[in-house]
Amino acid sequence: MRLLLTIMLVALSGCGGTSTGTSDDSPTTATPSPVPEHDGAASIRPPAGFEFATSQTLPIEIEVAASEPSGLYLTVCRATDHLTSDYRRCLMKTRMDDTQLTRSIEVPNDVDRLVVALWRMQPTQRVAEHVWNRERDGLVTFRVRH
Amino acid sequence: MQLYPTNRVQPLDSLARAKKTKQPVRLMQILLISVFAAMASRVGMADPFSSCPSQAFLVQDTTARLYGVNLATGYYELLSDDLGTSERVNGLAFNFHDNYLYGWDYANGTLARITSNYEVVPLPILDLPDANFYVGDIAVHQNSYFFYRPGHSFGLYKVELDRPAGTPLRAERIVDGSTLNIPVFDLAFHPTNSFAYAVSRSGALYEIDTETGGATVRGNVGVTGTFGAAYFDVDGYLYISRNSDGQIFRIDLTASAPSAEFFAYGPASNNNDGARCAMAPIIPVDNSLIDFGDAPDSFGTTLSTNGARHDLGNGQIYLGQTVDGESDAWTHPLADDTADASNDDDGVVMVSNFDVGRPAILIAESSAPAFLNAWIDWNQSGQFDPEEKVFSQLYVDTGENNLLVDVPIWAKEGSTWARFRISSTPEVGPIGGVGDGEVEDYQITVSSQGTTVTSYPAAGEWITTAFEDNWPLIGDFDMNDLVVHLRTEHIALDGTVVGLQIEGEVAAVGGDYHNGFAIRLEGIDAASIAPTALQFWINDIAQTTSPLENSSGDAVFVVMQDAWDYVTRGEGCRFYRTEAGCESDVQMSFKLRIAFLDGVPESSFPAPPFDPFLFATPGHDRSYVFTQPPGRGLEIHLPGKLPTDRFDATYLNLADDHSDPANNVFFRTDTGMPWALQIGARWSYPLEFIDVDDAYPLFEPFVSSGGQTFIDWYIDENAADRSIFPNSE
Repeated sequence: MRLLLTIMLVALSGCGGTSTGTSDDSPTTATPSPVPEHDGAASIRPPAGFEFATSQTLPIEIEVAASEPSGLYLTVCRATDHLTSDYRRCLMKTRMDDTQLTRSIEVPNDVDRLVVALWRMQPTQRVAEHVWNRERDGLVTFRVRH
Repeated sequence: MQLYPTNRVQPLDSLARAKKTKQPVRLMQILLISVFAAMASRVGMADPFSSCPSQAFLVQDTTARLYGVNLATGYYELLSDDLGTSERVNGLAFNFHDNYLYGWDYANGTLARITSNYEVVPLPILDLPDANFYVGDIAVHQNSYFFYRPGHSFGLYKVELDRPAGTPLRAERIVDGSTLNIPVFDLAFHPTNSFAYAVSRSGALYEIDTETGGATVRGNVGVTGTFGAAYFDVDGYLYISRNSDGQIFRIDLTASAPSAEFFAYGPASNNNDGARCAMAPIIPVDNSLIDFGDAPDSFGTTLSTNGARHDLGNGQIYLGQTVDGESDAWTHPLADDTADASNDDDGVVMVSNFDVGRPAILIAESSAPAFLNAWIDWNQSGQFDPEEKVFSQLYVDTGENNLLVDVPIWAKEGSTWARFRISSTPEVGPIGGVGDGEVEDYQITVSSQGTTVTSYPAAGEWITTAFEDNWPLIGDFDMNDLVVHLRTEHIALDGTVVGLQIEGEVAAVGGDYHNGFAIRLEGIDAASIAPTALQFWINDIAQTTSPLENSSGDAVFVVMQDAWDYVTRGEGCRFYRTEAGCESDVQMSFKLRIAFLDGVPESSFPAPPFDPFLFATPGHDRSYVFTQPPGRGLEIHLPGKLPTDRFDATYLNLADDHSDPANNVFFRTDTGMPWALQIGARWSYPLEFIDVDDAYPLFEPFVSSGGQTFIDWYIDENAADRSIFPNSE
């Protein structure tokens, strides 16, 4: 069976994907730089409407080729140190009954990588695994085509 | 006590057995006297065992080999393959009175003592019958060896081992083997009641009065075979080992109809005899080489319920990356895996959900080629039934093994337990001991077909809600007056949320005020909650009082009325987990399970962690701002959240509060700072009296930039030295 496995991002165009967004305006986790002196938290002036959120929304789109047998299983999990899926720390688990799935998931700001994995039931095997990298991919829609 | 003198000359009449040979008796007597005298002279030089050991001893083979056996697991190791004899040793006994092993020495046709360096030393004994014996043990209530063989010419004999100095050991027949004619292969003395017990090939349990030679059949224990080894433990349990397959059975003699329950897989042998110190526990309290499960004890987890357990002596086969041992199980909810930092349940990963009628994917990681047996309590009966065995003798390779489990259509939805056992023994049951490997128990959730499970921030992870409780006065901004970790999981079916689970733990209480804690589901009417399906636990104890506060309007779940009711200050500490040196364990955890009567469209389901908020405990004074205890009417919410309909709006804009209700802005200072924060991790909050801005220098630029820079300001690496309460896992 032909497995067409694509992450639609510029940085991964060599893998068969194309980006549909940019991450230029994403918040950063840049190296700390000296900050001006001030008088504690009570004196901080947040911009109007700022709600102090420490997580952000990441849209995910999964597209499975029509030739793929039905019943793929999808997981979105934190990454291990080896950039594989840590199935004990998943954000979403679902069966793919359709060829497309669109979701939005909340990702804490300190989480830099997620792993999207697709499993086939019979035989039981992982058929695809894609890493979302905050620095590389930003918070634009993370697309996986299989 | 004085044993047989080491240098005395053996009387001739004790050597009657020599007559069975063709050699001249006189010559044989002289020869044996010399041999015995030489052997006996070694007795005084050899040491006894240092204590009454928990380990059992097993002697096997036609040239005796001695094994040490852990009866709890069946794990055995060769102690010696050279006992100094070329023939069998049988009728093995451990003498509680002198800490020596004893056994019938076939080479010399007499009782022998076995020293701590595993050396057989034959003992000269008068009036011995002319035969070898394979049934024997030493009483606990007296220092005497009893040995038995059926048949008119033999019977039950006794040798008193604590004879006065200069007095020879002598065999005394208690009863002939026709009067006491029982088909047994070993016997063992009870630790307290002075009877000996034995089980016949057909399973008949004999209770033997060794003073009279009488025997009573206590019934049939329900197992058959040659039980070549019998043992007792200090609690009065009788253990018997079956030669053909090595299985060890335990018999509770206090039962009105004692029966044998399978206990462990031990070594098999055609020739088998065992002994142990009957005054020793089956597992010493300082033993840490046995792995137990941690499911509730109804599944068979502790030693008292013959729980699943594996000996770690081999150390080669385990699930995942690690395995640790204990002397007995710590069962849920007090499992050691969750109570301490060492969780060895790391070998089985549930990749998918467990949907009724659908296959589920698992990964089992094995340290070595081995066999996996596993059960899932599909019907939530609290035990693993035979039809609930999901893997039987499944060979797994070293490394990760992808596995599939078919969830039966009859599986009951909800939380249940799974047990995985790996070992070199192909077929094992859900309980009992095994000589190697590991057991891992997991709590899993069975759900409807086709569900989507969404976890926030992720399964097994936490976010943090942190409050300053001095509202409407500005506090010290150490953000630790009440700190609660949260995580949520909601289950959707065909685009509709049907269930929600919220877990939490009170991480800190850093103020004197009495505060309650609640969670509102914004836009979810309380009437949409299925009341009978609502479940609430505190510290894993099911609560009988519903946490649902209201019957209409947004659903509000009150987790606790007063945090101080659930936590205590450490010794020398003013508060709970906010000061250096006050690092106690988390003392309060909770879990809510919520079902929605008609489901809630995912598109309108509120974003986790919903609206967690602090409220003032009714009846307790607050700051000078309030002339009366404000009680439930005082709430503090996260930025962007609105007060509930129980909030007293007259409190708005008192003191330092600059709320703007017209624009839905609440609980803000004049500069716009809030009294509560949500952090996307298990946050190490500031120590007592340390401003969050001092503890985390990047907080200010994060806030001032409207969240555009330093978005991970809250991680430990970005904290100032000695300013935070270490709280990350």
